[in-house]
Amino acid sequence: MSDHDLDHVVDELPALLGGELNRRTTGMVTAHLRDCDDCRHALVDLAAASAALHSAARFAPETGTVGAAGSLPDPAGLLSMITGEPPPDPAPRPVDLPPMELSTSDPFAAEPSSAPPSVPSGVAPGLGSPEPPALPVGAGEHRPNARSGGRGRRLRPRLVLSAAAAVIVLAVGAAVVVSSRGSEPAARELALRPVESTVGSGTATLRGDSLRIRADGLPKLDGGRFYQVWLVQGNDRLFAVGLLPPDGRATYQLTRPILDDYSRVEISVEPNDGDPGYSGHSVLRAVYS
Amino acid sequence: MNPAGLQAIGARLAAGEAGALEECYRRLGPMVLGYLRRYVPVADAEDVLQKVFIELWRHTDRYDPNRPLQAWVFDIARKRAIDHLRTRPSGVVSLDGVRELAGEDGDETADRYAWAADLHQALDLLPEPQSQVLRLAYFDHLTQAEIAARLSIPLGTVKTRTARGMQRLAALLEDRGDDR
Repeated sequence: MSDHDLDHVVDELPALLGGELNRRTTGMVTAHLRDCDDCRHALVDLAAASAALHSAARFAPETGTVGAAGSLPDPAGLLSMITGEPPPDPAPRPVDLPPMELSTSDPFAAEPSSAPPSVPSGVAPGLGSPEPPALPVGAGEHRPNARSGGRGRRLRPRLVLSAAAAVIVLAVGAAVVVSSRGSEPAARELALRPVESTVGSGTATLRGDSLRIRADGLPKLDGGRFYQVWLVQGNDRLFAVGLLPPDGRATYQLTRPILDDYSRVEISVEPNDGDPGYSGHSVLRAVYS
Repeated sequence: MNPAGLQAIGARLAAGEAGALEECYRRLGPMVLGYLRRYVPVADAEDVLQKVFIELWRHTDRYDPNRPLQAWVFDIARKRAIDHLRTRPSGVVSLDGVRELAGEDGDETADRYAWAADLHQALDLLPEPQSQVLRLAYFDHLTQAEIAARLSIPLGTVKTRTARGMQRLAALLEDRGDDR
């Protein structure tokens, strides 16, 4: 039997274990298994994996997706309670944040001051933008973005992502969520829809200069991977908004010119590989202009 | 993320590294909470969850780094759930639930959750296309044909990704078993 045939039969084994093959194909595959040691060995491996998957799905099904088990108490708060010391606070909390200093030439400076509290320049714009402090971003100020390459290429916004930054962002996640005060600019809520395959849904809400993300049902990521929010224009321009915390909820402070410069919001899966570029693996998308 | 995964977190925990506790909480917290909610009233589950991790932190000296971290965590969770149910007013909780939790079935369920933690960790180590089809198949209960339609890819690609992913998964799970 050729390697191709062997592969083909191995590829049918998950469906065999799952009862998805019809009677005829089941007969063909099982007949092959009787004569092929390699495929029988493969079947043992696949049966072991199938057993683990079935067991997890049956006994711990609620652990498959982000937030499915409910929101956890804040781990930083837990740590504080356990150790009796204040939680590490890598970034100021909202009440400590200085007001955003808008340039007088900024066309949006005269807008109602009900915009969400800003974050300091070392953190802005937005949750999870671990922009080096030397690159402050204020309202009306464009941040350098990736300019080249197609969608499949790794675009490189000037952004340094690291594991430490991811942790910082998680801790800050709740801190950047803003509350409404006074008269607010009108909100525009867009549906976040799965890209290609993926499961999950949510909303992206634009209100003034802020972008609020509510994502549900995204698969839990581990192994250092994380979800990242981007603004995208066409196929070659990206703006790294920030990391999306595990609960799928965050509000990011941006600027009107930046928002106007892009046309859609995307959430991607990014590996923690030290490469700040876009992975090309978007899972949710909303088009706003 | 440290490639050694939960065992590395366990080793750091045993060394008293506070950051490891938070990492452990992030990794296993949702699953432990899901486990606790099987037995403990939902309103109480988060309180018990915190007690579990407080105990974890206070007794890191009891942790054997050669033992799977998740097994230790779920063992503590089971005991704290039993304590919690025993101290509640009678009649509030199901006696069957208490019996299950305290008996062999409870031990079995805790072990199932620990196994599930193993599995999810292994799934996260797979290439995304492979873990994706496996999650859709086993946790969203889609057939291969449905997955192909959902992902807009050929059925043959789904079959190949699934088979490769399961073979790799089996190897990862076997490695973890060998480590114990």
